[in-house]
Amino acid sequence: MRPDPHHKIHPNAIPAWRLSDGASSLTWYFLPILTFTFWYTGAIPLWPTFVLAGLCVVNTIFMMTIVPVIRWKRWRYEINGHEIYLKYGIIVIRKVLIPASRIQNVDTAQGPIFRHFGLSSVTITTAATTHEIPALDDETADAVRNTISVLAREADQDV
Amino acid sequence: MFDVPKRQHPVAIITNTLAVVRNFFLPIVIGIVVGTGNVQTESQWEYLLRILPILMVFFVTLGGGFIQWFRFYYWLEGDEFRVKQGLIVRKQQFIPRHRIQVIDISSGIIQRMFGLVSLNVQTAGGDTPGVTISAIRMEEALAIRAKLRKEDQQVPTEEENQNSGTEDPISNPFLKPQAEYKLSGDHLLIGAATSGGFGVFLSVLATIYSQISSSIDEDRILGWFSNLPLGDTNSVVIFTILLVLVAWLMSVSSFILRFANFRIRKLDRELVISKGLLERKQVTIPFRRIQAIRVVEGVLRQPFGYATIMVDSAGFGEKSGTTTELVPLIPSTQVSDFLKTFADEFNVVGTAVRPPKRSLFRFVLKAIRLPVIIGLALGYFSGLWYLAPIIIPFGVVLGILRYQETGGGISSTNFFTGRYRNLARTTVIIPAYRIQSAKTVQNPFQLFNTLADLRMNIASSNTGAEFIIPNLDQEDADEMLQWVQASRPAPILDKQLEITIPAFGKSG
Repeated sequence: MRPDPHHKIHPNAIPAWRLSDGASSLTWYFLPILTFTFWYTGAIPLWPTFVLAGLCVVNTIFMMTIVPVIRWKRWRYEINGHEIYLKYGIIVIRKVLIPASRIQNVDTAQGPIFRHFGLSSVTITTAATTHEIPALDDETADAVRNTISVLAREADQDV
Repeated sequence: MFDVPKRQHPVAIITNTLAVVRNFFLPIVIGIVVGTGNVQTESQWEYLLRILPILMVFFVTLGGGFIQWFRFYYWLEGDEFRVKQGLIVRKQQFIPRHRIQVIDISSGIIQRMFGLVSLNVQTAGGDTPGVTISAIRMEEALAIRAKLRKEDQQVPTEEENQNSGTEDPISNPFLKPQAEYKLSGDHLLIGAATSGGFGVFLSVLATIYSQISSSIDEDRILGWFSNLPLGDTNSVVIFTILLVLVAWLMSVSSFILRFANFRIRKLDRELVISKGLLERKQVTIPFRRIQAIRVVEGVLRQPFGYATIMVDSAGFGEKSGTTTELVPLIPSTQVSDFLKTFADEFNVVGTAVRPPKRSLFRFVLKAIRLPVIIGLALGYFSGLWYLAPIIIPFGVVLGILRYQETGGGISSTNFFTGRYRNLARTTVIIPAYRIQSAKTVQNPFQLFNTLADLRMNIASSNTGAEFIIPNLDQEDADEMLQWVQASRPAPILDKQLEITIPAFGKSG
């Protein structure tokens, strides 16, 4: 069995994920708010609100503590002249192999939180699938993007 | 004769309109059912108001067909075949003569009624999609074809000339097919009977029925529903059987409509498929766009030794890729010969590996999930608890079949061959250089059992297709994943789990 991909993503990913995952976990709070309004209009009892609110708080705590750490530990990538090799996943482990000759597009992107931590993500598109390497530092991301786009240009253009 | 822009024969209005109707068939049917379903009024005016939407749809499509005809001009200018069309978006297509690959003259039922034909001009590169003149007199079509004929094309042989001159104007004057396969009448009927498309029709019928019935007598329907678990089981059973029978007949006729006169021809650089009873449809698949071939052995077909061969092709230019039938029905024993003739490199036989024994439990567990849910739901809602023990064994059998038949491997010519079963048994053949990305996926239970799903992604249609070979040994899956590397390291697979695929027409 081939060893895992060599590189880890940037450790700043952990605090960045703490913020972004924590923030996106807030969307789940609409559920207890919804049940609360139902309780207010007298349609249902109060306890579902407490249960859901509790679950939401637990979720947020998880998202801000151990989830980013595990995700960072599991994320591995490797790019060489011929293919891109990724391994990631918290519960479900995925290994992905993308032949460089099949790559059609490479983009880098940076949201406000990632910018604060000096991170970018690289998105790789083939004719069928899209893959993302999250949280590389800016220089690595640019280097990766340039490497891949050179590889992709050299490869034959046929699908 | 053709250098002045010219409209099509007015019959094109009818065919244009019908084309629109065909494209929006389901919405129109639903609209009509919903629109008229609840009409139960005394007032004629109100009745008119109800059917107004239908009349509007009718006139709008007819008007659309008329405008399409009114704005469509075709002519020949120098070396080019030119078409301009469109009301709001005006489109002009100039097709140089040397770019024309296929000129097809065909006739649907409408054209035949008026003694007309339709002319289809297709280019090679696919920068522009083909142009279709949907109603034109035969002499005119033949004259255009003669003018567009390329000098450097190979001259048709004597017998071909005779053929195309007399009764078969559809045959292509330019390119002599290297091979041809027609669907025989027997196979058409067998395919129609076993097409298994009645599930779709069944749901449509059920929806329509529920619409109509609600307008007849709601009290009685409510009573019928409440009686369901208690009495009158006979009428329920009879009604269900009737519904299934009607749905089956519909699927039979739909299969015949789609695949009658099915013919596949192999040309220099592409496969050309024509099919259809009332309306002939033509599909061109360039060889270099073929991404994968799959052999599908349906639940109703496999026991009788029949299969369908499908092809995945990638989109290019304005044309979108398709997943379409290379042959709608073929005896499994002939699959290999067919591939040898029409897509030789795909006729591979490779050693592959099966899932290890410890995966059997996972296969069965996954297959009985749905029957258990359905059984419990049926039991809960209708009280038919005795159904659950009947349908759950089906899940067990399905799980065991999946375990026995799943496999994946690499041929010596670097083709991936994989086999899996959802309901139908599917064998997929993918050249290494067509794999866009490969994946192994392990959930915690699979990690514990050192199993992994192997997934191969190819470009197909617009979204791509993913083939999943479930629950292989982790090492085997990884070997095949690494094979996707540019250097194609030969996978070292577990000898004890070795099988041979594709093996068609043999048991196992």
